[in-house]
Amino acid sequence: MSPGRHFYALLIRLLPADFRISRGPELLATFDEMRGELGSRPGVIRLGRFYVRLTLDLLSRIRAERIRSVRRSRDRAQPVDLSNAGAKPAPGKRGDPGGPLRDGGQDLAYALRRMARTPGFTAVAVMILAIGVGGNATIFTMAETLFVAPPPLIANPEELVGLDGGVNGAVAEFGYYDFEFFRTNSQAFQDVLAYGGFPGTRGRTTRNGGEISVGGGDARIQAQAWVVSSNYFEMLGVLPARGSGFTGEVGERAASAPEVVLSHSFWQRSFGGDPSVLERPMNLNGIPFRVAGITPSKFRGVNPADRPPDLFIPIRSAGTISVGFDEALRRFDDEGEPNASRFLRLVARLRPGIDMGVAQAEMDVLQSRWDADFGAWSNEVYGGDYRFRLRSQFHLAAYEARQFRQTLTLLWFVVGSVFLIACTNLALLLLAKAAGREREMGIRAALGAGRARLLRQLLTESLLLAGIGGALGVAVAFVAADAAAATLPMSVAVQFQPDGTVIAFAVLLSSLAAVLFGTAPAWTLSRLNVLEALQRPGQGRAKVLFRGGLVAGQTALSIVLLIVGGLFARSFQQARNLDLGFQRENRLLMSVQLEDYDFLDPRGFELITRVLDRLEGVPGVEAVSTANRIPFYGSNIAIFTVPGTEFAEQGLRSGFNLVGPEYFEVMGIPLVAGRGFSRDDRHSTQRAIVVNEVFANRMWPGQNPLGRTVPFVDDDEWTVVGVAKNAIYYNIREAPRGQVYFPQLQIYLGRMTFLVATRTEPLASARAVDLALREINPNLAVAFVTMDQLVDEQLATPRIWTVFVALLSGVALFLAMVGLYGVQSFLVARRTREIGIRMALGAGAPALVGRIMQGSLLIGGVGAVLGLAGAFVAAGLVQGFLFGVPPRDPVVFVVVPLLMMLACVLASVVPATRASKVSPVEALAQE
Amino acid sequence: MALKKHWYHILLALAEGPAHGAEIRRRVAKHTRGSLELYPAMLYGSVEDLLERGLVREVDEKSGRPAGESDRYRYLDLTAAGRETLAAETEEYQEVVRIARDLLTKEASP
Repeated sequence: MSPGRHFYALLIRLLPADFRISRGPELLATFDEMRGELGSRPGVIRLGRFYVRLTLDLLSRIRAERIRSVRRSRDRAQPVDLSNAGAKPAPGKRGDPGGPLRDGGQDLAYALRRMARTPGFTAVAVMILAIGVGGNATIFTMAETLFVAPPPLIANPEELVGLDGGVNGAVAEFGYYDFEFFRTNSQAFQDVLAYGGFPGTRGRTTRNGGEISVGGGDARIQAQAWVVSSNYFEMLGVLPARGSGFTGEVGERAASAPEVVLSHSFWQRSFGGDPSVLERPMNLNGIPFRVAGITPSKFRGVNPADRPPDLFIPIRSAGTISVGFDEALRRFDDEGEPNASRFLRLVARLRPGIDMGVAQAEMDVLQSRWDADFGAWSNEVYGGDYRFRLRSQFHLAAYEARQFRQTLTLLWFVVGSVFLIACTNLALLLLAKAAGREREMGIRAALGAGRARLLRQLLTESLLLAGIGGALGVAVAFVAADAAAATLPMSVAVQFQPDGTVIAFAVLLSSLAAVLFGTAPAWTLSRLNVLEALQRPGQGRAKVLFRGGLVAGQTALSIVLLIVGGLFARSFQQARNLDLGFQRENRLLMSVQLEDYDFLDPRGFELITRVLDRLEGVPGVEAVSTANRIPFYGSNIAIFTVPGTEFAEQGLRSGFNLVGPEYFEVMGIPLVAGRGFSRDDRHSTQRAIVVNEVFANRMWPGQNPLGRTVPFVDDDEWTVVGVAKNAIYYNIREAPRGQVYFPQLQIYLGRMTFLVATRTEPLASARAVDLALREINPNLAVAFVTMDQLVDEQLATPRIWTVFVALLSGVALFLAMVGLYGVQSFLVARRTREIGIRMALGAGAPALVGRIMQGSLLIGGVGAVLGLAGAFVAAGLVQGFLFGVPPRDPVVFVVVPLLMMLACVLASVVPATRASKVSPVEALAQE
Repeated sequence: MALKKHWYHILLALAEGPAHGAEIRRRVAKHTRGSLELYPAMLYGSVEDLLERGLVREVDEKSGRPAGESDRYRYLDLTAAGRETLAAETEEYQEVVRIARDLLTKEASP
């Protein structure tokens, strides 16, 4: 059922039961027809108008139908008795069970009439509530989906546990040997599965999977792949929608031919759901794979933070298409050192009757056996005791859960504040209305309405408002939930769909709102002194103070929000102006997998030279180089031990990269000393490296690094020939770190990216470059991207946050100004008489305006002080989201309160001028 | 008896022959060239009003429903009283139109 239809079905529930039952299906059918007439893409305005009219239509009918319903039930209950015709039962008669209920009906009917009489107020109130409840319901949906609901289709998810490792559970990725270790040795687990990103052409090994090219020649398509243990689907209890699934045994080399399972969406998207793909081999990176199955359409994998991949490849099949993959699975490398490749997530299924405690106890025992092989090494790498830990939230790693929690908390804080501000405004609006109703309430009280009855009448009104606002809020959540997913720190694969719990939450929240904004006016009105109310409505100092307090509180919250918004804006500005240390315009990056030669095989160097020669001849290309690693896509880490320095024993942990000739020129990384690489840094010439400033300063502080040597690979001596400026390597938030560059014509790795500096828009050259590459190898898997795109990807989350918070703090500021304006107008109106007397006694207009302004500034000032205190706390909360801005940034903390004061003054200009134009004669004659 | 505007149009729509609610809506839109759009609650609420007043009645499904129409809808037809009321109301309208024409032509020629 579509959200709109859901909404209408909810609306229909407002109608009395008998009408709803007899006409409900027809109402819905007619809704369907009218919605159908609008077409599938009607545009926001037409759609909005349709729903507004639809809602008003239904609301306007409720009263008539209720009356009809009551009448009919009465007719049914009392068959016409001619002897008593015309006599009605006395209202409120003792023993009449319908009494209170009918009162409720009257309250409701009266509330509806009042709403209909002030459509503008009703619309504003309902809108404010819809946004407030909708925002909160959206975040509630997200929290529920991420933390509570298990991913779809997984069988008996309560038996599954996730594994964390490292010091304090900081590591969620494991080596293949860890997988085999637990699978063979644990008695508490029925089975263990492993999954991870396929190390694609760009060399990224986690999160979104790696790129694979599917098919051949011109029909090549890019796909994202994961590697999974062959028991993956079986253990999750997910049967392929088509096909037989993997045939290979876990841990053994897979079936005779490598296998792949396609995701349902990839199969639909790329093959139009053609079932015959199962019957023929599929070329992945040029190698034929057997298509073993297609996943069910709802399957999203284990982790909601993973983009569901297009392809699932058994770990044991991946080596055929990925350079160095099988080596990454080994327990020890050639020198007998523990293998450092850790890219698999592990999920285990507990045996029936085994609980987490027992399983963890077994883990601790197994830990000592694991330590025998890896203890010393892991201590060195992780700097502490490495411990395996089980977690019941199997789908999210500890650090992911933490990041989601932080983000959702912040979202909730922002949305919740706006909601509170909105409720305050509603309270103020209702108070203002209440002032106008004192006479009415006085009359009602004089006619015998009890206090409880009056209170209930007023609460019915606010509950009704809240009910409608809440219903619309749920509709908002349906639309907003998926859009809000963009604010999360990771791309999220799940669909956010509000459910029954969310609706219950919205109901609760709306009722809370009704109490929040409805009680104050209801209370003031119900305590009226009848005589006073009839004689001189709208007096009382307590009420003025109360209103002032509300506005001050509202101002304070707005300041907190504005400061947070300001911090985000500054942070985004900083990130945008960040000196990356390299050039981002007009750079095309093509990641490829070349032949898998040995590090020092001369054939590898020839291949690179050949490709470079060919690419340099392509029109539009200015210069070409290569690199093993590109920015933001992982890094190589090594420990460099250099004799005669502070790091002769311990070694210095640094990033390194293998780069081609003219790399620094093509990347636009300036050299501060020495030279960069050229084609003369070949296999046969002196081993050369370039280091960055951080590395040089730490390794050889205060000395000239040029000419010094670093041992690396087969203990060759590598001589420093240049020093490059620091750049960003992995992440825009990273602290400056050491980096060493090796010439790719001296150390070869088959996975590399060609960097092309173009004269114009880089993607325009992509086609020509692709053709040139395929002349060298027609099956070459190529992934294209521009440097601009890579950088923008990094800024996407800060940008969304900035827009989001700026928007909401704008709303907050506006609401606060409206609130202040309302209060000042009210005060001026109330004091007309007093102002008249003052003017009659000779007070000038400027003095009066000054007095009003003083009042505003006092309210604003109190709000500003409270707000600053709040912002001080809130700034700590958002620290982790900021970039290059101290959380207590003085600029933001000074500018925002000043801005707020200005807004306060602006909001009281109109009421103040109105006061100065009061004619003394009229004011005094008023009563 | 003065009829509400949408009641009049619903009766008028049924003068074309028996119909269900959605069909009535379509006919009204056609008769008024789209200027009167009956939204669902108003439509079926009015139908109930008219049923109560005996101006329309529900008709036997077999005779009224064309093949292939949804059975979610109930069929309606004018009663004799409905037909009379419609005729009387139309007379009244004619009278009003006549007066209005006279007035307007007088105004146009002083």
